[in-house]
Amino acid sequence: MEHLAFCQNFPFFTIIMTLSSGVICSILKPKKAMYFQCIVIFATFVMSLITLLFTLSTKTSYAFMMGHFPAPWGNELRIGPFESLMATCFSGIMLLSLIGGMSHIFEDTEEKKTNLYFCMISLLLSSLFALIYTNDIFTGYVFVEINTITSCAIVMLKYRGGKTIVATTRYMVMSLLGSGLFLLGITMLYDLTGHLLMPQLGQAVNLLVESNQYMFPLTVIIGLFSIGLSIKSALFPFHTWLPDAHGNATASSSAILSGLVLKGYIILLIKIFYRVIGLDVIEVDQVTNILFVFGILAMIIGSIKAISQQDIKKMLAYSSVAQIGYVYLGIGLGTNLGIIAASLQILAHAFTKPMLFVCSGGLMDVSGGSKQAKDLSGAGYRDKLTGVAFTIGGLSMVGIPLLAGFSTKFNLCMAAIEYGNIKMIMALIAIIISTVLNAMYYLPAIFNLYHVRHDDSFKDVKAHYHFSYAIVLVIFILLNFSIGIFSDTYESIISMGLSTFG
Amino acid sequence: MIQEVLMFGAILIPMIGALIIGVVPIFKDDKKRNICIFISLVLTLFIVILNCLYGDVSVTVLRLSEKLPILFKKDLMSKWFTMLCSFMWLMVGVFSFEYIKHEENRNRFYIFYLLTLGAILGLGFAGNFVTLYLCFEFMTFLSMPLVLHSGTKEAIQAAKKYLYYSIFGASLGLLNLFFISYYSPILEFLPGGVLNNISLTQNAHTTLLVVSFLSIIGFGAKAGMFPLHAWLPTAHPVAPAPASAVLSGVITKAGVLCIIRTVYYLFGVDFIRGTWVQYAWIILALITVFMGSMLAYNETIFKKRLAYSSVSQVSYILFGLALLNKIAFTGAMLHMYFHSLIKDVLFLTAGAIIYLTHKTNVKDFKAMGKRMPIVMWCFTIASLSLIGIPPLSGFISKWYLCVGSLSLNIQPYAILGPIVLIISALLTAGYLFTITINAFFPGNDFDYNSLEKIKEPKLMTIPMIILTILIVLFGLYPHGLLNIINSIVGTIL
Amino acid sequence: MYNFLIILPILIPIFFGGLIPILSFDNNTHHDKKREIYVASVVIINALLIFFLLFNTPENSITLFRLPGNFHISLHIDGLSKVFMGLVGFLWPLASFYAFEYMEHSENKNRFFCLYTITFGITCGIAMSANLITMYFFYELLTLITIPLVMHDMNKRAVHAGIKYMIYSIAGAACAFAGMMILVGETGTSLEFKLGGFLNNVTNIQPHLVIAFFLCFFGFGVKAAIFPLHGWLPSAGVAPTPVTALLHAVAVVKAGVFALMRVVYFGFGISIFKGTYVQYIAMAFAIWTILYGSSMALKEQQIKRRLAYSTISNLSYIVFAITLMSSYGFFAAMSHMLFHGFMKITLFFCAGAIMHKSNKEYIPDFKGFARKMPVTFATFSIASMALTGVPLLCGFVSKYNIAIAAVRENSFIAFVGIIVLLISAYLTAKYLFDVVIKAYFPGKDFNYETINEVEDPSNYMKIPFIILCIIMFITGIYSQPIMNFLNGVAGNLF
Repeated sequence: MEHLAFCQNFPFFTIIMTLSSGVICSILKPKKAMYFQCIVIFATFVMSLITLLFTLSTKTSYAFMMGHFPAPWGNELRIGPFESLMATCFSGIMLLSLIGGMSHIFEDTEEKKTNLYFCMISLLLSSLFALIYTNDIFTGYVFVEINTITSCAIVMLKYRGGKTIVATTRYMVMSLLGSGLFLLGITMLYDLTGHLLMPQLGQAVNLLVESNQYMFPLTVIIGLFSIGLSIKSALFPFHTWLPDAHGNATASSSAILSGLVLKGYIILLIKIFYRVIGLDVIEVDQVTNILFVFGILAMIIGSIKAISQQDIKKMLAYSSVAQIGYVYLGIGLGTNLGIIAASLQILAHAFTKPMLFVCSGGLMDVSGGSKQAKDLSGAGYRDKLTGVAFTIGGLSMVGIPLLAGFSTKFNLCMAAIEYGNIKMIMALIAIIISTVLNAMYYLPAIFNLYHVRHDDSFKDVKAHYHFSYAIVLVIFILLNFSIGIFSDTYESIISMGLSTFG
Repeated sequence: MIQEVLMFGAILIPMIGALIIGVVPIFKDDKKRNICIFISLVLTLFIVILNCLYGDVSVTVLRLSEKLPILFKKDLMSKWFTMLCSFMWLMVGVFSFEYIKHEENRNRFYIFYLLTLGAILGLGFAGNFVTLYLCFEFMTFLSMPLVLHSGTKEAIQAAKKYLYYSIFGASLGLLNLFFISYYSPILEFLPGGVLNNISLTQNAHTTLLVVSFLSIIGFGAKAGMFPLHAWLPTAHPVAPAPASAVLSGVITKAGVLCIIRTVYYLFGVDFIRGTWVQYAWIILALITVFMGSMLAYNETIFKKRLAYSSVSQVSYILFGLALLNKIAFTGAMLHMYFHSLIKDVLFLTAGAIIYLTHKTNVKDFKAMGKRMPIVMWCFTIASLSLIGIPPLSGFISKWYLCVGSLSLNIQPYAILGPIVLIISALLTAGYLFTITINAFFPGNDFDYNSLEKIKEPKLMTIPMIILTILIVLFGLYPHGLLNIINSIVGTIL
Repeated sequence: MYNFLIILPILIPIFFGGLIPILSFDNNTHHDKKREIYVASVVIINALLIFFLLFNTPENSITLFRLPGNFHISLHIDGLSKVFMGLVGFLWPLASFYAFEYMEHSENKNRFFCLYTITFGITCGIAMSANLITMYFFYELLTLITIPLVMHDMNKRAVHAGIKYMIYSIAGAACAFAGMMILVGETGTSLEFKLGGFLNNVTNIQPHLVIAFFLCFFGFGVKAAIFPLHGWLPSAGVAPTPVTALLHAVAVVKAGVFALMRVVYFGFGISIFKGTYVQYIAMAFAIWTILYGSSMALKEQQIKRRLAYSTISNLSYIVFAITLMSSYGFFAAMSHMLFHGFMKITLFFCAGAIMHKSNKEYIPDFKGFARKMPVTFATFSIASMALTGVPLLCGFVSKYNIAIAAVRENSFIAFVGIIVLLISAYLTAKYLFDVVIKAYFPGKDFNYETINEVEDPSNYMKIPFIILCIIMFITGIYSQPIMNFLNGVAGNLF
């Protein structure tokens, strides 16, 4: 056994810490739970950051055994630059989202149940970490389920009435459908290969492919994995649950759901593609083509639906549908560059959408708690910081250079062009159309914020927020610019990570 | 030095005159203004005569850009043309002093009247195409208010039609500038053309032929040649009579001058002779001759009849020019002068009749001869000349045209010319002579007792008489003119 | 040493313009002197700075940001930059003074002048862009900052026009972006502009390059109002006239043709597509737009929409010259870019003055106005003659240049272009002189009492009119120095 550096244990610690803090939070009083949770998440952030630096310096990824059972029977984590980057970013975003939407969390949940909210958040974070790090497909399934339940919980904990419950129910049903398909795929794969750890699975599948046996079942398995995880990550046409769920939740929940939860499943899918099945098989198998097409449809239809929305959070939710489409566009190209671009989009969206949702919370505050566009009119003057942050987020979505959205579009185009032939043309056209569509709802929303009102409502409303909220927004803005300007740093980390991924 | 001053003086004096009338308040009073105008016109004529006595000169005023100099040049052709303009302008001007009494906005009329003279003299002295185009545009803009002077809806419509046809025609002519300046380094008009020593590819040759054809049609708009003649019959009835006189008499000749410059001084006759351009031009001119006469015959409004007549007659000139030989050219140049004289007499009579009796339709002209004898006698003599009865001047120009046509030696154009000219002459007789007969011999049913003689104002009759005398004189003694034309012809053909 | 000066013309207007909402200027009085002095100073100082830079040009480029790949946001002043910046720098102060009067009855003046001034800086950014990415960046910013200006009045028409403008522009930019990406992917260059192109001796036309070219051509061509992407321009006529005049006659649309010049002459280079079907298609669109714009202008009765269609037509004169893909064509395009800017801004100014003083915007209502607004209509007439192409005014020179450039090409389609140019000149005369004649000669029965309140605007507007008329004459008579300079920019190749 090699001797591990202390910091290499950190990923394991993060999972355990968040699991336990979840349990602890359920018995603490709400205020204390909040502080406790924030500290814990901050700690996990720091640990993930250290892991990231470590893996960058060693330029490798390593496998971490859980317990002392070696592979192929025990459980295993796999940590490399890619995983630690994702973990760092996710934990950071989660912290920012919580703090940014903190006032709303307290408003929206029942007093006694607020600590339960933090409990769920904690468990959610642990499942995210697990999905990112796990090397065992069944563990993946377990945490997928935990993820599902906790995310439904954080939607539902907003107590305002029937809409939330309906939305949550729908979310749960669709999610469980997805998990079910996923489980089915695992079962069939286990049946074929007898393994659950990914490296072993990968080898076994390789053998199968080379000997050309069981090709049809393999295709079915890939299909099940893809559809199952697509449902959970709201790829068209399985996205219908998303707008209601994200639109009706409290600001932090929407932020976390849109920005992080969806991504966790996608990362799992990427892992499966790389380690279990292998990129070349995927390519031949046409699955990526289907994902590509659905991605394009998501980009376009999501945006079209967003244009007609008057409720700002619903609009942002539909926008998420479109943005997920971008990710699948990248994955659907099936090349290394494509996945790099998709990963960059994962990060960019994770940085941007939570910011927008947090802003929506702030904007609602100065508009009498309403989410409707006509009430939000002029909010940019009432709460200047939020207005600016929303503008930057919106412009990033449209794709203005120097902001995050531009870098991702750029990378997607580059990946598409490298691919060549008809997919390239379809991708370019889709990017062009979706840029226009994005502009069609983000720009009017931004202009609406700065529209000078002619009536007297909200005349004397001023923004009151805790200074932590302001700091959160400023950090978000800086993060957005960081992807916009320094995207090559992120890219190199991602590509390094992907090269050691498989 | 003196020569340049004289040349520019001719152009500037009418414009200064216009400025004075417009700005200085004393001249709001009719009498004083008329005197000022008279002086300007006489002075202009005088300077133009002086110009003719001196030799040639050429001055570049400024350069719009590297290849676009504004160049004024005095050569025989310009002397010929400017003489005609300034003389006719004076005659019609005197007539107008009386006529204008029953119009409003008189100052405005005279301002533009004088300005147009300046522009048209500039056109005459234009030494290269850009300058020609510049003066052409200015002339168009400045003469337009003359057409719409009376301010009625029809007048404004007619003026707009005039403006747009002219601009369109000038645009076609502008093609010359673009293409010739590309192929030839020479930037001014040269007798015999500027393309002589240039070797051209087949493509370039065809392109230039098309360009020349288009520019003939374009400038032909101003000269009333089919297919761009439609503005003429609309503009004449609504314009005041003096305006119609200069429009038909002089301004159409400006279009002719532009064509002369294009064909004889820019492309050169050798370029066009024998090509489809020449034949098409001849056909178009002949069509116009015939069509104009035909339409005049059918028209009963007097001024419109005269307008169609102009359409027809100016195309006689164009026909002569199209034949590209010395004799026909002589005929064309003679007709340029004679038609001008004749048509101006005719329009002056029309003006007099309208002014004195308010009658515009020829059917109402019965017994006019008894009421206004001087006017109708001038009319008759002019008509006879236009029809081509010897020994009046019109006969001489038509004779030259026919002979020139026959000497062309290319059938069927050679014989077609005289045939059309003769038919047209018959029609001319039809539309002019009937008026005379009606005027002098109204028939037995006419009520002679209701006749009153009308006092014919001197200001109107004197110009008419002068012009008529000239018509007769030139018919008897054309040699002076022929000599001048010969020297012109020698250089360009 | 003084390379950093390059960025000043961009920063000064953006920074000081951005301050306007914060400084306490009164939004509601007709003329807030303080604001006027502030805006005027910023604009004039910037203009002086630009003229200083025109004559003392720093040699090097400066890089603002580095982006992934080989790309960077950089600024550099070359000949073409000077031409565009000079035009913009000269006209912006005039337009600002004009705006002071025009906006006197409008609301939200602070917001207006803030955005108006910032646009100045961004336009300079486009002019000074050293590569395609930088130009794309400033192009997008230009769109964003001008949308609120179009929508300024915030009534239904204005909002609708703003949204239409937004959709067209962003769609165009997205197409251009895709084209840019293909270029990068195919050639791996960093898209630095240099005369002759950055394609580095790619000689045969590959399908990807063709697609990239058309994406860039039509993408940037939206702002240049090439058919069928011209639809935003007539609607944008509902914007306040200073916006339409300066932006949609000068800054925004000229940014479009400027971008096309960069794409064709400094990007793809002329050797690759010249003589191929690619060139012919591009030329065909330009020629058709010339005809279409002029014809539609004739039908329009609202004065600003008529002028908008006229702009569409005239822009395609420039695009036609560009698509001739020759040095002379480039030279001709630049000359018309300059002169048309002068002429069109004058026409729009006059239209605005008429609308402002009489509250009428339809041409049949302008009967007899010339007697009441002599300066305005004299200016309008002079500008009309200039646009039609009467010699002694600037329009003749630039149209002549375009025609000669076409003649030199000696191809059939270029000749078609010349014929269309002439037809368009004729139509131009028609749609402009109709207005002039109506105003000067309303007919003998016209009762001047009905338009008693109409009068000439104040000196804020009159002085720019006079200055512009003088300019049109001077450049018409003595254009040699400018032409020599443009010749140099176009590569001194003729």
